[in-house]
Amino acid sequence: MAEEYNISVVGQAYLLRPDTPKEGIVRQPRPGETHDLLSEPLRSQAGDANLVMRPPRVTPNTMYILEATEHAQQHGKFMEFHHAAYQAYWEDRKDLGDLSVIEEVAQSVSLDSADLLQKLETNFYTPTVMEQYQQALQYGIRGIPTFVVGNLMFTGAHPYDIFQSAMQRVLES
Amino acid sequence: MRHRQIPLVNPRRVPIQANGKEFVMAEQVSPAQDPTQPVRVIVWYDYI
Repeated sequence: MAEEYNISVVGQAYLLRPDTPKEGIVRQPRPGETHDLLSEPLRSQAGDANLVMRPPRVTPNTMYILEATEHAQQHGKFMEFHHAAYQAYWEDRKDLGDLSVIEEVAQSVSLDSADLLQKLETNFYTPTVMEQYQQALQYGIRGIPTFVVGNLMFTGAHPYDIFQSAMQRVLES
Repeated sequence: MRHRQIPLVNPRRVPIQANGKEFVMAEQVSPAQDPTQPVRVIVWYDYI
């Protein structure tokens, strides 16, 4: 979308499962899943949105990776880092609760991983992430991804033409 | 730079047509988008 429109993107953390233990949970396969494909309706939704989503091995506690993404955002690399972390989890089935995986993701987008790990270990970004999550709850957001495009809000990983239609409405308003 | 409000205060529901389908979005009545400024896109995300 950034290639087609003049936009500024802001990422805000949301804790979809804040009760997940720090070590994560081994994920049990869902009925209808295969090694490479999720069950429906996620399988079709991912296909419609051109996303690769393989069944993950682990449901991680995402606090560290959300904090790491905020670190990337503050260094001007939100989109790059987010894509790399998404790929590590959904395509490569890596555990995003594992600091060594986060280190790899950071290095893949040329972030100073030693600086990042030091900030994660000292909870430097925890207040920022919690503030973003609390703001979402105050706004009534109960699922992700939730987008605000100009003055329009919607939830879900929709096909690109939905974003185009939303952008058109915003620009014509 | 003027940012629009986040559409949460009494938003109206508007249908958006795309590719033969209709999606309902929440829309906040707000000042018109300044065409010289980027449109602000906020995404709340998690990875799981």
